[in-house]
Amino acid sequence: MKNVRTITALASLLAAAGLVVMGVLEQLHVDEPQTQTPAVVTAEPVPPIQERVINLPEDGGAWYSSLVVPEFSTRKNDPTARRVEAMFATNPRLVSLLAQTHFRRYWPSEPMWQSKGWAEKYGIHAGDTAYILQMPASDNGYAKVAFKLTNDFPDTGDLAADGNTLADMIQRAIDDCCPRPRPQPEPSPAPQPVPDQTPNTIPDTKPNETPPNDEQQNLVGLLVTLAALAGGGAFYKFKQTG
Amino acid sequence: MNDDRSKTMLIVLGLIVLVAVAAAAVSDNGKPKPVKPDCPLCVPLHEAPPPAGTVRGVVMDLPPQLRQENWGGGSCVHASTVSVLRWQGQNEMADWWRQQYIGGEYADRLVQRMEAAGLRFAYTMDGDFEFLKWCQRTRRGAGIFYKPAHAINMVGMDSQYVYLLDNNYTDRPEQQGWEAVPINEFVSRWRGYGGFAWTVVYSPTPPEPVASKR
Repeated sequence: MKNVRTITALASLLAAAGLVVMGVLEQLHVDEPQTQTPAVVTAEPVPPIQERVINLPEDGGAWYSSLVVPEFSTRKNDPTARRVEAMFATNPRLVSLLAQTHFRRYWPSEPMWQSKGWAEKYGIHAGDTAYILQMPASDNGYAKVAFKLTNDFPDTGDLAADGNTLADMIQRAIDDCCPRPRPQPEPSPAPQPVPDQTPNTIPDTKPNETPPNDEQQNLVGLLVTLAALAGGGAFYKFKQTG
Repeated sequence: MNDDRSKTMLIVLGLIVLVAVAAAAVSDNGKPKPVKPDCPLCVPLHEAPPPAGTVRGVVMDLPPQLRQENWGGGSCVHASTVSVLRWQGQNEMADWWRQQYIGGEYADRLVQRMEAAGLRFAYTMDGDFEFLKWCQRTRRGAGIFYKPAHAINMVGMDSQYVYLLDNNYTDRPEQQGWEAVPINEFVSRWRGYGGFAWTVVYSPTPPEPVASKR
């Protein structure tokens, strides 16, 4: 009986110590600083003379980001528009997102926005601030809208609440709406015409994360084993005394 | 004896609780929760019918108002350049180019002028059809020397045809449909006219939107 008590007491101490250690490790993980270097998005950079592009970018699979803002005359006094533009210019995740996509800014009188009639198609009114993320065009030439958010969207609260909150919302929409490419089978004979192999470059707003700590996983396994051994020993003695 | 059994049972139960708490703490260590099947942020759009004149394969789908017509009795190269600039969102540069240049143009001087303007651009002068395929893949469109003493835009292609926009007839897509030339015939003619094609390298206009199917 003394041995059983000793074993169970020891297992309990170890379990408690393990919890304390894991708690400390978790705090260290949360407090780790972001390692991604923020980059400020500016307007199209002024290229130097003689910038013939030699290495043609294969960006046909890139997604499309559209930031819709009010007319300039009202935009400068619109706190939401200014805050949203600042977020996309300074938040590292949003900056990274724009860099991974074809990015365009639109306002109500912008020629393409106006000519295409997109205000009506998207349901965006003059004076609204909005962000739209589109997938690459499918074979029929149309592109699915993965994410759209305006400042008057009823169920999502304040568009300009926080850059990271907005990035989280966009990332969830990407993950939910648009599955990542999976390995494709290689049929024989090959299909005709040959399907378009342009890679679909799904953007990613996830911040740099430290890889899972394997030591934590090993510690849990050890604790479970010890607890199982202690519990088994106690149960065995329990049955014997019973 | 009964006290020993009770204590033992309590110890066993306590261990089980500790293990359960430890496992829960590790498994929920900051990982995102599964998202709901429906996506409230994927706002459904009405399924609009294809715009008039839309043809599968046409990627440089400029609206009629933004297609630059030829001016001054022979500024076709510049008109083609302006259309490409507008398609890729370079509106201010397009307006400046429209005001700055008039009259005929040839390949070398166009390249010099694009360089002088500080544009990011790409071109082929030897009829490299892979260049036009790249323009198609990346939805940028291109200006090309095509037809006698003329320059127009290549706006798309598919497995059979190359689609063209002529700045002398910018509303043809709405009137008769896009000008389409069988690929082999197009390549042969284009190379016969010198095989020059150019484009700028910026972000193309997004495609027409469609609702996400849920």
